[in-house]
Amino acid sequence: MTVLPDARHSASAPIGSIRWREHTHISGTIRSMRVQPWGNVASLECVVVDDTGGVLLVFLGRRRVVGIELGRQIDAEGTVGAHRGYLAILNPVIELIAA
Amino acid sequence: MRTMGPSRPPGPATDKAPKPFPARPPVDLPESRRYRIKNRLLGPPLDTDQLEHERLGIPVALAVFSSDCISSSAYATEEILRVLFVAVGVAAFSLVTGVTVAMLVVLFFLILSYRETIKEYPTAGGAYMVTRDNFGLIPAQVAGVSLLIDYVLTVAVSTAAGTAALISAFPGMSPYGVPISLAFIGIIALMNLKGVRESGTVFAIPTYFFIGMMGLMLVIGVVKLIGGNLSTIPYAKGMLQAKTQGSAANGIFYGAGLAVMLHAFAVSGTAVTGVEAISNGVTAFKKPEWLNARRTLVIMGSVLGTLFFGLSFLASHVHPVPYESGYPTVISQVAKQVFGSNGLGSVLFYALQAGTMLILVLAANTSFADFPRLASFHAGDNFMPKQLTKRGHRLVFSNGIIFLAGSAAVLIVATGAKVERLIPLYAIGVFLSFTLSQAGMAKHHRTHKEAGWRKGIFINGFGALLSFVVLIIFIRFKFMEGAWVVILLIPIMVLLLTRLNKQYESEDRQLKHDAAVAATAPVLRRHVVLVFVARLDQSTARAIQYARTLVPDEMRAVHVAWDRQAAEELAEAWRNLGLSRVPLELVDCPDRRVAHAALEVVAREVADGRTETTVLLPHRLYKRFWHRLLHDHTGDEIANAVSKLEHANVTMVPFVMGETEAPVPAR
Repeated sequence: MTVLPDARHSASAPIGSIRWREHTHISGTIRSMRVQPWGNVASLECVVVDDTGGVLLVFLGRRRVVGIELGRQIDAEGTVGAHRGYLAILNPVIELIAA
Repeated sequence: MRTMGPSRPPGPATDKAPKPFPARPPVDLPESRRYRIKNRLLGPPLDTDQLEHERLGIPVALAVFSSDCISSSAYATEEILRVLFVAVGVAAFSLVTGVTVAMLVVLFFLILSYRETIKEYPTAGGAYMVTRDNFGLIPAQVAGVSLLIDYVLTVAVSTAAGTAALISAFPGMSPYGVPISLAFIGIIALMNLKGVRESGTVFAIPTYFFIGMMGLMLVIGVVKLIGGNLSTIPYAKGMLQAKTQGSAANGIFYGAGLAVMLHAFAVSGTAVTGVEAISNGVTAFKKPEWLNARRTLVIMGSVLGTLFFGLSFLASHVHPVPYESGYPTVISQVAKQVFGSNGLGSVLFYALQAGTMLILVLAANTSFADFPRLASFHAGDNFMPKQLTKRGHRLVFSNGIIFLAGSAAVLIVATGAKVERLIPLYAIGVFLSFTLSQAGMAKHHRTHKEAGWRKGIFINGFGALLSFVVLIIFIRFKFMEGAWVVILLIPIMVLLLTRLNKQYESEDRQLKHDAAVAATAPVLRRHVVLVFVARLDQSTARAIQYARTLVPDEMRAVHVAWDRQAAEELAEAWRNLGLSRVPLELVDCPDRRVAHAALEVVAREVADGRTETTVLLPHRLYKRFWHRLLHDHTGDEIANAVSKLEHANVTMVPFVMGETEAPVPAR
């Protein structure tokens, strides 16, 4: 089991620079979100963008995550995986940034 | 095999690495020319999050909200003199202070009344809300409409008066009154569309400048008066003609009957317009909002009272007779007399004229802040077009601003930018809304019985009564001069708005009724796709391509044959294509009513009540609007006719016509 470093202590990287299968910490604005059903479970998928690019955040098995709202600034941390052919962070550690 | 999991664990097995999610769609989406012009003109769009009122302290708030009110002191004295002088001649000058004092009493009670309103309605005040709360929606429409009409008039009156101030300083401009006023309206409207926030300094400088210059004039005037250095203005050509001649000493004995006094009193009511502005914007104040708002209101009332009284007082000694043409204005005549025309004096004179012009133009700006907001309240209650609730490019109610500017411009053109022709229309709306909102406040006190409610009833009740009396007097004397227009307009507008409201409400009921049930109801079992084709071309090809991606139970192309020869050729072309999935049906149309024939085809399809039909129509998009005019619109006709059938759904398949042609085939 890996212990994730506290999100507050690592500096966030530009979203455009993230690489597949690398641990990353990004920060951006929620541009879009949707609940995608897969059989009986659903996942909340949202797109987070900054000036350099965008990335999918996927919350598996969740229909709602408190604080995930359109236009919100968030910090997210996790390993970059893949989802529907796009770079995605699955079940990221998130931190809401006060508006 | 289908994997059920949302993703596979990352591993080297996948041949394609995932790609980054694009922050913007990877295609070029050029902005329309209209949008680019808008951006150039108004600046970049503002985010909704930026909608935050900066809170105003008393000094800035006074400047922001009082320009409308205080600016009235620039023309109110003149309006009184216009009435009095024509009726009683020079005797007018002994009556003008009396009339002014009478109106100041009204002002005093209005200020007291609005102090109550601000306390009881600190969130969204204003006549509309108070009336709606206490008397219901329809009376609120009356109050709202009267205010809206008055805001339009405020813009017209202030820009016209501002223009008059400009022309008084530079008489050479006098033929250009209308274009100058229109330019003022245009500039203010543009500034408001840009959303120049009710930002302090823009307002503060001219407002305080005007107050300062007026104060200076009053002080110098009084000093000169005491020293006996203030001479009267001799009667000049172009000034108003008096019907009777009196003497300046004792006007009452020279034919100034009660009627004339009341008439003058009524027009002086224009001085107190704008008092309501603060009660509309209590939320913009720093905390504690209502206390600061009340203080500002009292200061505003005192300033207005002082300036208005001071000017009337000086006028009673200087004897400025209003000019027929409106310029030079009374205030400028007084200023010239007080400041003199030598070096420093003329500088001060021009400074006061500039201050007057600026504050009058700013007064128009107050309306630009209030009108769109009030209109959005109306629209929010379904009494005005919904478009008025939409915030535009720069977060302001753009449609309201444009509408206000347009109406005011019409008024300016119709009246030739003459203040005295606008005044009879003015003030009726204000006093009607004063009356309604004060009566509403009295009722509020009676219903809620909060501490000191008896005093409240007295204050607001008396305020309502006074406003009503002024309203009646105003109507009595100004009816023929144009007041009838407003008196007619208010009920017509209210009727119109109620009609509009009925329409909106019925639409709403129809749309919202059982929406959830309808959305989850079982769907029809069969889906048929019909592609209407006129001939085989690129746009038709697009529609066929799209149709082939759909998976309906049945699909076919339909050609309405108004020309059997052409139909035969199309059928031939179709056979050669070998599109087995999209068979072509030819429908005879001997009467050449293509849309009707199409309607019959679709109606036959949906007749069984269990078929959902998609009608695909090739739709050409032209580069220029006149290209579009060159073609008939059979497609649109079909769409309109077919859409009325239940379970018939029209899809336009667009084909964008290019600027350049396809190559001409070599022969």
